[in-house]
Amino acid sequence: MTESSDITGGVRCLYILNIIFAIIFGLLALLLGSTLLTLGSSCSVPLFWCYEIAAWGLVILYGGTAFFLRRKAAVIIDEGDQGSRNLGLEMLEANTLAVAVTPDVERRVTFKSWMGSSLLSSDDEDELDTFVDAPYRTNASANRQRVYSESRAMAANYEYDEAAGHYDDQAAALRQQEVGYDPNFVPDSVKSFVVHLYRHIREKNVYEIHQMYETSFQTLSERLFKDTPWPSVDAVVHYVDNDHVFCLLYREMWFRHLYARLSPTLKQRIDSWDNYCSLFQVVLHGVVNMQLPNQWLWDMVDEFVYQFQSFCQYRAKMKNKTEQEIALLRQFDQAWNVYGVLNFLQALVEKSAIIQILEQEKQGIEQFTATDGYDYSGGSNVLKVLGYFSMIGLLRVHCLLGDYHTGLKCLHPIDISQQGVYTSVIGSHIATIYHYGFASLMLRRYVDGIREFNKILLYIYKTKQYHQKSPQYEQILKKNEQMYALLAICLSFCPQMKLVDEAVNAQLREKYGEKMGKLQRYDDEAYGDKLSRRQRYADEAFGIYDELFSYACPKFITPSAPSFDEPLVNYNQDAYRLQLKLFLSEVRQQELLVGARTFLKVYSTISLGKLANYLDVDESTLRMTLMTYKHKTHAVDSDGKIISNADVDFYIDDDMIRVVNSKPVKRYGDFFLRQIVKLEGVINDVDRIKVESAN
Amino acid sequence: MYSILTPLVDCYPKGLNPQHSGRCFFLSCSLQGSPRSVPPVRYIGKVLRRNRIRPKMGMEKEPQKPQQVSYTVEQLVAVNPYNPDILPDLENYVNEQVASQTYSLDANLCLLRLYQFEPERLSTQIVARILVKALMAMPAPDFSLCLFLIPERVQMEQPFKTLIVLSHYLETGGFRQFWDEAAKSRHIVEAVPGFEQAIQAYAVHVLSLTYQKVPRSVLAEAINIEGLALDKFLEQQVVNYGWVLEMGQGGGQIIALPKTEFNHPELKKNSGDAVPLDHITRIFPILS
Repeated sequence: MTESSDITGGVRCLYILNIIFAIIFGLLALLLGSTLLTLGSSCSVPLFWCYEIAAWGLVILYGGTAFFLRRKAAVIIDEGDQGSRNLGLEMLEANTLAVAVTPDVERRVTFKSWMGSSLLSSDDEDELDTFVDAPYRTNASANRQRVYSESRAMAANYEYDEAAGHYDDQAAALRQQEVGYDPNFVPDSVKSFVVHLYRHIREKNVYEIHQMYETSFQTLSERLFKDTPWPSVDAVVHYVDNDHVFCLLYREMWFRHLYARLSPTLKQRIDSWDNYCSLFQVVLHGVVNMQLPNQWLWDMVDEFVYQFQSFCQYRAKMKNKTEQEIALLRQFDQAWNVYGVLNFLQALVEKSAIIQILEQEKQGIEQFTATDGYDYSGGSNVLKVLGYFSMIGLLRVHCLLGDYHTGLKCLHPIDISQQGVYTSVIGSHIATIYHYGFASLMLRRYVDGIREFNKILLYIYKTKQYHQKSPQYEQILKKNEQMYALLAICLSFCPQMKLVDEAVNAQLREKYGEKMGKLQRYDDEAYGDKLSRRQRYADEAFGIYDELFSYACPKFITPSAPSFDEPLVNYNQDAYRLQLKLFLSEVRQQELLVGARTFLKVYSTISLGKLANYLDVDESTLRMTLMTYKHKTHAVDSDGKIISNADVDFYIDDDMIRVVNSKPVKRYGDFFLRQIVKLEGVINDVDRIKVESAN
Repeated sequence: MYSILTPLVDCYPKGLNPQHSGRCFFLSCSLQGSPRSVPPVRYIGKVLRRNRIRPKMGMEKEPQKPQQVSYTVEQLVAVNPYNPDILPDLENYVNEQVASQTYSLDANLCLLRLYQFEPERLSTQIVARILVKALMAMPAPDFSLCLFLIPERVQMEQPFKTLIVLSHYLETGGFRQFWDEAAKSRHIVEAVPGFEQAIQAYAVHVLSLTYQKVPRSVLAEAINIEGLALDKFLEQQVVNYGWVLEMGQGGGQIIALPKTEFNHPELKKNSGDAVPLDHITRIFPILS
């Protein structure tokens, strides 16, 4: 950081003053001191006092200049070999700061962000500590987790309807005022943060940017801005050469912090929309020349969709809106308009040509996944990676609207059976698989859902500990729980336990073992009132499905604007209720299958009449049930083919049901493939060590 | 000094925004035209402007381009689906599907989405047609997919209530009830030609999944054909699909359905050990 030797005018001035005072003090000490000593006791009092005062005066002056010098040193702006100050983050000609791809740069750029914010402290941490009075290094663990807590994490018991006062504009504004927030006050640590971040972005130090973004920002938020927003962008703008793009990025972080810690007012929501518009338009239209870490780019898209969802929820609660708010809503009806949101995401996907890039990568022409999306030839990764993450953003928005088929289509170019850029950020990995799995569940493709949930839950299980210090830890845990609930639902519809790994199975049993047992329970006693008991079990199962679905589903939204003329009601729950209702009707249709499955597991041949007797239904109803069973277990997959996912299969021969005994097939192929790849990896590692030690 | 970069943002030649192919035309045009009628970008904190992102697209923009390209509805849905101006085109396309007995799930879902965004433009007749078409697409879950996008209060009205009931019967194999109900609501289902045949095809599909040998009565109930018409139908199936007519124990006719892997488990290819080709390709670099 301080490797440069150039310093600006003010600092130079102080430095010179400091030297002068030091010299004068030294000379004075020598001369007067020696004079006094030679004079001994015959020195005059005025001379003595003269000496004293001069000496103390110089001490104060020297100390003062030293102190101010250290403070100033923090805001050293490195001009280096940059000629003109007009080169900002956006340049049209070739980048003169192009960093040669040395192994060092590669190390920085291929920094795996999933390692989380390890406390491999960057220089930033040291820098910041010198200014803050309390000389402690913030322990990042517990505090950081609360950053995204309140507004993001859904309550443990499903609280869909938040308290009406929570979104109240006036209350929010009041709260901000109470804490004495002054938007123009910029603490020194913020100043230095902003300056350093700007410098790193200009120099494309992706590693440093990532450290500042993950670590320093959270630390400062925790320490200084627990209940207030960061200083406004106007206050910090002159520290960063008034760079327009940097201001957009700063504002994006500013709003994100606001949403996380406080509740935004309507005006602030609209401002945030405006900021996103500007930011995306710059990315789409301008030639943005910077490299940002994938974590940040994913957070941008994620936050964009989240704020859209939050706004729709907010807008739908019409009951307690004031006249002012309604007027504002009417006036700015374009803010967070669903068309705008979708079109932006679509535009990012199209403009970045990410689909073509992924296609070409399969043929080996392009390099995208191999470099984790970063660009080693001096270009910018922003548009491409934003386009990539926008596909996941589109999947998410479509799931919120209830259009699962189109959502899966949007995700189609990304091959989720392999590693990719989406796995480089834990947040995007989880979001992708969660929404993919949920869409598969609603499309009745249970096997797809189970497989993907199994993979991601196993992954989280193994890597959970590395993320404990990251600010997304709570989110990760929450999604983990939701996915277990969805897995429980999928397995109840399609009991294929062999698709689930041991570790995941154990966790599942622990969390939902009892509930899953109840879902499969048909009739466990031979005596008593069978019919009412079965009905009771069915009703119980129905309730459990309701509970699990409500807990695990995304927060559906109603995208249309409210009509302001009708009486004001809260309709934020409408979308959720619709999806729940349709899901439960599916559950109802599959209710009778539980009984059929129970008996078919036990018998290898049984006549229709007898089975009808056991189930207490007549034969035609039984035929219907069996046909339903066949229909539901033979799903239509994405290519239009029919695949069976039944655990117990049968066929009917006139009026005899013959149950099929299927032996579980051992799959050796997959196992061998995995081991081959693993061995290759190990050999490569060993080779690399040999080569390194040979040097 | 505050906006060093804004001149660069706004006044770079539009030619730098390349239109790679016709496909990008709508979007790049829409974003350029995304009426920022107030240039240039001032400080966000200072000025709040209405951002009209709504792309105003439609065929009327065509004349600016030297070549006249007309886009089919399928292309529109693929390239620019979030555009309220294509709503009339999509509605026409639904009518076209009904008339020509074709089907496109993507276009119909796109239309239902647009109805969801602008509920005042919802046309019950068109939605009813889409749902009937989706019913005809069974066993695919298209009907449920469409229902997810239709608001609850609309679903409570006719003819949607009837259609939901019909779908319920079909999903649970209640063919007799289905045909009874369909007879009562002839006006809804007969608006779409090919409905009966499609449902009969679905019924045959479910029966083929379940039965190796199905009694004549069950079959008759499922496809709603009796007597001589049924005999003719069976003859056709025998010729085209390899059905076999036999005599059952009870004296009634038994139809042996063609053997597939679903009703003849021994025919099921043991795919357990088969490794798909693309998995092998992943280890080609290692093997070579």
